[in-house]
Amino acid sequence: MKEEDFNAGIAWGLRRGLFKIITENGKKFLVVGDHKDTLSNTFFELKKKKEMFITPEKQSDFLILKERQIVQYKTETKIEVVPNDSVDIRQIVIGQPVLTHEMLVTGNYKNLDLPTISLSFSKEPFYQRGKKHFYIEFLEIVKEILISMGFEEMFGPYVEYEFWNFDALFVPQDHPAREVQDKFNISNKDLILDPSIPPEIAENVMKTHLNGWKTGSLGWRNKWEMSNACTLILRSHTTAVSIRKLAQGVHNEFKYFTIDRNFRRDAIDATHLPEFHQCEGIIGGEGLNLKNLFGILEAFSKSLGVEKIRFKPGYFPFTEPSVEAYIYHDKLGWIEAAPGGIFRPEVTLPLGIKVPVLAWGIGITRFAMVYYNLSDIRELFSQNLDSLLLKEEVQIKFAHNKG
Amino acid sequence: MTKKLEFEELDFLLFNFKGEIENVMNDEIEIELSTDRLDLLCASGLARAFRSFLNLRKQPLIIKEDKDFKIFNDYTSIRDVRPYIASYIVRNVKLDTDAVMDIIAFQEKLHEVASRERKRFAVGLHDVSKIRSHELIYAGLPPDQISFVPLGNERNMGAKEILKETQQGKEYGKLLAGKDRYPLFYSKNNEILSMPPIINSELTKLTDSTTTILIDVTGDSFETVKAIAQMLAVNIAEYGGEISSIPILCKENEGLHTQSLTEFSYKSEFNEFRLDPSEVESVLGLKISPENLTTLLEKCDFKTLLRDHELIVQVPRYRLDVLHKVDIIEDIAIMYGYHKIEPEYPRHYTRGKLHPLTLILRASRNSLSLLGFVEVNNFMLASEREIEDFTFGFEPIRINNPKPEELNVLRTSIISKLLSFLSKNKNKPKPIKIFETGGVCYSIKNVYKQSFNVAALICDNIATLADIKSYLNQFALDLGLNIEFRERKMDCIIPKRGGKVFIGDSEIGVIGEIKPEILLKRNIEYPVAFFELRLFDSDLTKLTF
Repeated sequence: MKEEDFNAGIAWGLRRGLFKIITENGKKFLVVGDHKDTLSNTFFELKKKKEMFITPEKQSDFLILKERQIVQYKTETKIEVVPNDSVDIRQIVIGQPVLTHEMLVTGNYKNLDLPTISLSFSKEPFYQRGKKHFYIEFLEIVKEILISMGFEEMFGPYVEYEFWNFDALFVPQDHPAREVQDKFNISNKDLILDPSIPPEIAENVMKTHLNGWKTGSLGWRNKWEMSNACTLILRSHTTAVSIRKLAQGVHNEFKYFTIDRNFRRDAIDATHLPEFHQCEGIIGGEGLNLKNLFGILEAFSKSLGVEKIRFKPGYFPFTEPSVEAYIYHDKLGWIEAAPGGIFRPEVTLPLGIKVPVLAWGIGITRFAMVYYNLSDIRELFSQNLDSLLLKEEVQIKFAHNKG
Repeated sequence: MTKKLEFEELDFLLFNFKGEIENVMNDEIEIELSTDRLDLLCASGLARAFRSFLNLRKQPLIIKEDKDFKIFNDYTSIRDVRPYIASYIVRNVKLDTDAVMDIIAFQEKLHEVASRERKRFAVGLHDVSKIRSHELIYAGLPPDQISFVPLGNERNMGAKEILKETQQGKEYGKLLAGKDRYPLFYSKNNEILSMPPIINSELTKLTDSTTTILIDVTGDSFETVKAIAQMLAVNIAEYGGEISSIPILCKENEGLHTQSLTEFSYKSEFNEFRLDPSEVESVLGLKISPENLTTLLEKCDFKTLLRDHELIVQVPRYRLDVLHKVDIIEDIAIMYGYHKIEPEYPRHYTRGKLHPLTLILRASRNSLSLLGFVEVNNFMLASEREIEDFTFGFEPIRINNPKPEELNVLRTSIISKLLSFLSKNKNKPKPIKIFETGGVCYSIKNVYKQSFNVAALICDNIATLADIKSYLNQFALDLGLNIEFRERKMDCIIPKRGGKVFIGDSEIGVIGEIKPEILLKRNIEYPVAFFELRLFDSDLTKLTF
């Protein structure tokens, strides 16, 4: 042992009271005391157990061992519900007794005195979880309803020719909806949307606009230019998807639906967004008529929980007769919910469709807002994590429907 | 022939004519109407429709050709400006102040709703008692030859001066910009009625004592100007008066021919449709006898003849909305009462089916939400600044006329939107784990593409490639994707902390830790690791996929 190590050991032993120095006849003697060496006991206990809880009586020992870098501290936390609502539920409290596996095995639970855990809930969101978006889940349930009614799902492009968005729907080229303030134009130069418009369909549509072609219509008798029809825009309604489906060719009897996004140059406010979902479908087949359209709208609305529905004459450039279905809401009264109609012959015949085609849409955003009691449409695109986490499950909303 | 309406009755009537009560203020009622029936945007027009609906009808519409006035349409001089004119005269009119206000408001409403700022048509109403010559001319004249006192002014003005000085000139002058001839409506005695589509003359101004009103409508479609002129005549005459149509003369009728415009349709006040009662039944699903159909059609103001089980329906020209038999059938349904039509569920069987895209997105959303990610829902519209660093080499789809201004592209990736969401939730407890599925759009070699992607991110005190990769592995297992990673350099990812995701030889996505500069630019102060995969490519060649 080096002299400095010896001296340090003596000093340490004295300080810990392991021994003391007695001076007798001018000589110093080292006397071993009867003091219990708790530190070394703790040290050896820890060496055996590898891990120990820090108890108040051993706290000073551990402090020394930590200082000398013999031990490492680890923090273990327990979460407890405390009986005061104003305190954060996630506050960490250590040292309160709880029932443990060990107690059950050893029987120590018999002496356990557990403090009360309050049953009053806090409305804080629980962050450590995954969750599906309530609005998308809502749309998924609507899809299930439509599947149950025999509809097959379809999708179409977001960037669209005005032809499929307007012309093929018999919307005249000078219609206000086609003015630049209402639709989004694409600025990419020379952008190609494949495939291009089939020439024979384009010709039929053009003639229908000009003079009615073979449809029995007078036609719009206005100028019609292919260059306008070839302009690319963001589609402004999902009817463009329906019309593509019809142009692609369909069986004699069919039902198709789509729920997807559309784009309009609306200013953002509580009831308008430049981007919004539409839910719409087409039903084709020999013998279908206006009563059947009412029947579909009634059945669908019932599935969405609507008990009362009434039908009002409506106007859309591409359907005739047209209808505007109103539904009754306990708080909101009669609300406009589902436009529809029978596609005009000017729409179906140029595409080669000979059977009547019923077309309908439903204000699906409106329904979602009613279900979630939202007054602001922007909440469907919420940018607040908490509000997403606090939403009820959609299934529960539908479970209360009587329809 | 008049009836006082209770509030509920008015509500019901409007309901049937596609309108509704918007607002009630003392003795004024504000109503909303759809734009297909332009003739109803006038109190007298609405009253006529209600009278017919309630069987309180006056006699059917009679329009004779006028024996006194005629208009010479010098088509060739005006072909490139506003080639067509149509005109009616209403004699012995009885207009009180309210009626004058109604007609003026109607004229304004027509311009506002349907004229595309007077481009399609422009309307002029004239008191012709001061016009001595009844031979009228509609022609194009060089602007420097035009001079008259415009309505509301006291002195003679030249055409160019009118465009520069008068309010109407400033507003609509652009319609004549660059033309070397301006349209002028005048008499053989050089008495000027108007310079369409800009302004009328002071000479033919309507006053309280006006008893004869001449209506002129000019535009570039004869069908439209004829219909609008008739509509005004009918609505004015509803207050009392006799309508006659002023004959339009052309050199051998030149120019008055579009593809459908025959001599008959040019002169006729009606469009004629033949309707088989069985067609009505097949569209509406209602069995209505021919006699009852005739009654319903008369309620629509359509003169109807029953000939060999076929109905011949005469639809006045002002019903611009009637282009096809189906329009008449809708009117029949309205007169029958939509409320009396019983819904009937269609009987034909079809098989319901979800699109594979929906199923793939559903599987993705299940997997990620179970892995502890919260789903968010963002716009596909994005700002250039948002998608910066995350275009992955694709050309974005840009919007020419964005609104709001900053949303000027479509997103090329979802991660860009997730980062925007994150930056608005940066003070929330960590870790934050979010995901989104949905469409992205871009172009490759000028060809439009759209695909459906999934993106997920972790934001925490420590968020490494290893963390996100373990989630992606689990996700790929759930979706049955046999993915591989290849280390690649990317602008948005910290070097050696990310790469591309492949299935076989095709690249389907990216994974990695986002560069600190990119995070800080978005005010995100915690590390972020993410992945984004392309799940479904739209094959647009199948038209609808």
